[in-house]
Amino acid sequence: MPSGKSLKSLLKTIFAPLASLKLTVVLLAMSVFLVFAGTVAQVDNAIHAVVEENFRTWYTTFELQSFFPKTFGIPEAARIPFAGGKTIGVLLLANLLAAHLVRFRVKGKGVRLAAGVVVLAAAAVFTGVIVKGVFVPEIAMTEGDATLRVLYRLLKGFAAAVALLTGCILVFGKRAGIVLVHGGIIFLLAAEFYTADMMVETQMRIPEGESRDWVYDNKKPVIAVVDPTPADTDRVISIPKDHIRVGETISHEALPFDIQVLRYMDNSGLVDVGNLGETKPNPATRGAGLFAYAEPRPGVTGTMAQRVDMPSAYVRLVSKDGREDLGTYMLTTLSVVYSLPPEVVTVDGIPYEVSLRFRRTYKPYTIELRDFNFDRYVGTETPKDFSSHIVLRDPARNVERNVRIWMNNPLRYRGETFYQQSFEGPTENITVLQVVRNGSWLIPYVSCMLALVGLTAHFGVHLQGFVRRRFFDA
Amino acid sequence: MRNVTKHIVWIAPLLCFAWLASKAMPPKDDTDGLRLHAFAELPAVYKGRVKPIDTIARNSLSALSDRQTFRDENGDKRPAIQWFLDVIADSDDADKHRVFYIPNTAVQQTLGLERRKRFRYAYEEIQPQLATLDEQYFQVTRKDPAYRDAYDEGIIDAMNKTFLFRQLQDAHRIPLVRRESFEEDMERLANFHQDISRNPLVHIIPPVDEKDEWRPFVESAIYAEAFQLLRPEAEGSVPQPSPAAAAFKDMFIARRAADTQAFNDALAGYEAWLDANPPHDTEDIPLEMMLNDFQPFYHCSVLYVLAFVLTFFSWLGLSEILRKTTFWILAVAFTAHAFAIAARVLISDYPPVTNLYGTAIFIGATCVGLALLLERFFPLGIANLTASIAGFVTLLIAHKLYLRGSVDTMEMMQAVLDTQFWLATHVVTITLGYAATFVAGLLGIIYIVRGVFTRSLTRTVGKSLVTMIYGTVCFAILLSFVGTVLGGLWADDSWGRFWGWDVKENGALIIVLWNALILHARWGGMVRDRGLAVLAVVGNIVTTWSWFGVNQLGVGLHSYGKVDAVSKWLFIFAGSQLLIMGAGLIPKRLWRSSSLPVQFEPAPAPDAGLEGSPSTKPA
Repeated sequence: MPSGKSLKSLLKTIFAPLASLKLTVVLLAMSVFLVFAGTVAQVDNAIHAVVEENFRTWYTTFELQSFFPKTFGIPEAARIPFAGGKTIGVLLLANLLAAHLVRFRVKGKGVRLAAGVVVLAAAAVFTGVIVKGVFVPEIAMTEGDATLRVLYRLLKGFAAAVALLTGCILVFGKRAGIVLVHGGIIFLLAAEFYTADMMVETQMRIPEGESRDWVYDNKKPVIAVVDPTPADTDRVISIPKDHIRVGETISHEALPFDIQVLRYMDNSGLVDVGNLGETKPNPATRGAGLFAYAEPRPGVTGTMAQRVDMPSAYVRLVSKDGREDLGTYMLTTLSVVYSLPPEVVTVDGIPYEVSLRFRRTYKPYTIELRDFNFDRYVGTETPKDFSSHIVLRDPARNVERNVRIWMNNPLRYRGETFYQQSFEGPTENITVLQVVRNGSWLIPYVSCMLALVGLTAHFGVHLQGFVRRRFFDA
Repeated sequence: MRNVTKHIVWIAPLLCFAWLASKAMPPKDDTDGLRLHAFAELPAVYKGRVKPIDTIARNSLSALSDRQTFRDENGDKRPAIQWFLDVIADSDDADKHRVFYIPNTAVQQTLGLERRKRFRYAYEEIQPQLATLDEQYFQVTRKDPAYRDAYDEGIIDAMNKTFLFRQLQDAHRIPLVRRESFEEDMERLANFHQDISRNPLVHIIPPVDEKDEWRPFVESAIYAEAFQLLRPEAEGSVPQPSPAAAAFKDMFIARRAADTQAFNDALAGYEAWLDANPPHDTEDIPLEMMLNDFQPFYHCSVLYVLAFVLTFFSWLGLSEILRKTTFWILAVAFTAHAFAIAARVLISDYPPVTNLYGTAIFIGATCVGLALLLERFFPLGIANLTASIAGFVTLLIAHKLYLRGSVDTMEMMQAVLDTQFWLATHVVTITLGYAATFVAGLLGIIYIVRGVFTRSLTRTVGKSLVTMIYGTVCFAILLSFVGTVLGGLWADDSWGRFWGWDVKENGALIIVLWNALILHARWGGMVRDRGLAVLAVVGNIVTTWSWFGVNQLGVGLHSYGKVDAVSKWLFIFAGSQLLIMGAGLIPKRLWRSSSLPVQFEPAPAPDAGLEGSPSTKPA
């Protein structure tokens, strides 16, 4: 088969440089630096900022000063350019695939090869079915033993790994283990690429006795103007962060008034206006701002206990014709924490509610918090357990169920997972749930087992040979 | 004579074992018949766990004094429990024991303390300056923590120590309630109780029935007083007083009066009551007492030092017998080390690693176990040396970590971390991965040091070392990879994201990447024997970074004031590793081992059998 041979050599010429182990080592070294730099960057930056700007990007720069003690006084402007995580990830993938194309030979022949291909195909389908979550019930509550739940997932991964290993042994012989490990790594990288684009992380905050049919994204503050007059629904106009620029006026036909942005703080705290003194004049002329003053706080960084920025803004509302000053308001995302109602501004007889809040997404189901429990160890403040007793209602699907969500024991429903994240309130009566949509969540369970089975097979074969030669053949 | 030398192989390890066993025996109550050891064994709850009072006494004394013993007025060493009893009984001696460790000269001056050997002071010496300390503390705590200097830290430290001391006393005060001023007294006590309850108190009074819970002495004693005075008219409206409160009250009064007989009687009465009404979760107390008396990690580290010395002698002569002896001594130490870890698992009901202290002792045991295994395969004494160094250093680190916090090393877990399954799988696997990476790194150091500075790195030794390093790295990547992914799965199961790029996750990832880099560099022929050793040494830095470095981020590494101790040692360690790597990069012809009669040439592959790549040549 001359044509086959020449194709093979052509492939080799093309892929040989890309398949080089030298390239692997260089890429691994670059990964080490990237991860290290992305770690020290978290001392001064929020973790999601580092993830977006350093890891999930093609090209990035790092502040030079974050590698040295602060006392060195290295200017913040000095930056090191570097390849982003996407570049390194894609190159690693290419390197890995090319290496297998060029170097890994098919060992099986005839019937064995055919059997191998069939087994591999079947195993791949099986793996796909597991990853797709076919074996996960629609409402997956996790009452009961965490151990069994996770073991069950890992066992499914293990079954897939063993099936794939069998196929690999038939096709690749002794190299089966390494093929499997690399398959697991490709899976993990792919999952991370998928997660980077597709994963949605939101929150739900419910006081006891109330229910919610919306989640919010605590990384996306918006100015919301709500017209509550329609009987069945509220009409909401929300202005995303990108359009909130200090010194500019937000003007839109859908808005009942113009909004002048006087101040905007990415992270803030509230202080009593009475404690302000002479030096800081209070810009607010109406609303909650008359007694609470918002001042800037340093942004949250990856090494801090506080996890999210709480922005505030001062805005002046002006009538559409520009003649009437409707007042200067302090708007803050902290209003939830301090139970401040939205500011009400009446224009043409309609009482509009204005607030700065996190962007909301509405859901077809509601969750009611019946009871929130917080247990501590005897004589300490160390939390032992916290749990939310909720009622999940989805009229369209005839679902009404009592569920307990607690630490490490989330609820999975409609492709979303509800985790017990934290709690608030002086009497610990408000629960905060993390609501995550991530279609690739089962992949790492499979990858973990692929790596375990693959590496054990690979090293095991060689270790066995080594021990035999050392102790028995001598 | 020859017979004797031959028998050393088993006699010496047996002696070591007997020595360890003798240390594990409970000590006798000695102080003039005072049954201190029995008192130490009484159960109590502090920070959420039922434990012997002894554990609380040792941790409290260590928090004040950096030691678990103190010296009395005659300069004799005394156990922590004696000091503790004096403090909670409010005996006059409590203020006289020199237990406050205040090493900072400036702080000593502020508190008007004389400079003294060992820097340990009595409460009665500090007391006159408490107002000054209070005022200085107020100043210091208003400073940004990043700008605090050694003096500031010293003030905070001294304040915390006096605070802990007073807190222990307050939780065990005998309340005074008088019939004629009942209302005022009760109100005063209620306020006092509320005030001190804001901080975690020692709970020494067990529950009287199923509905009751553990209580601090002072609380139970207030109930008891009220009950006493209100009887019989208010029977039922005041909780039934615990007999334990009365017993402890008697013990305290007896101790104040230095009445040994009365103390022992009250103690015996309480023990009888405990036997009849055993509280829950007290089954493991004898085992914990045994660990407290035994101090296994200290004695193991002594054996590791012994093994280290013996290994050196084995290279000077008497080699094979000494090597075997060392091996079995290490095996004895490893057994005790592993036994202690197993006992901690039984006592705490948690898997072996739940905190930084736990990682240190677990990494130590794993390194020693792994090295002993290697020694069986490669009987050269090299792995013995590795075992002794790893065992000693990790136990030293564990001890230093303990002194930093001086808290219970078997503490209860925060809710988010409290999942047995993940602690047992992820944490154990990743810690095993750390240990394996360290063993590879240590072997790398031995390769470089022996090669550069001695003539002992023969071709055979070099080849064996390289095979050991290579095999250990393979083991390390398996464990660190699986452990890291399991960590991600834990995060997925708890918070809904597999990988969040947070500092701890990144630290673990770097270890995996580094081990992968070593293996690929080897397979691609980019490094040979010496390169493998140098890369393995980098593994030490990488692993230490993940183990300690990431915790220091935002705490010590980036502060303006002073570099804290952990960060300092991190820098020193990383520097030492870089020096060794530098030595490893010296041209081979300048290595002392290269002047061996047989020209030392690095073998192309460590061992064809363990070699695992499709091709050893670069593409």
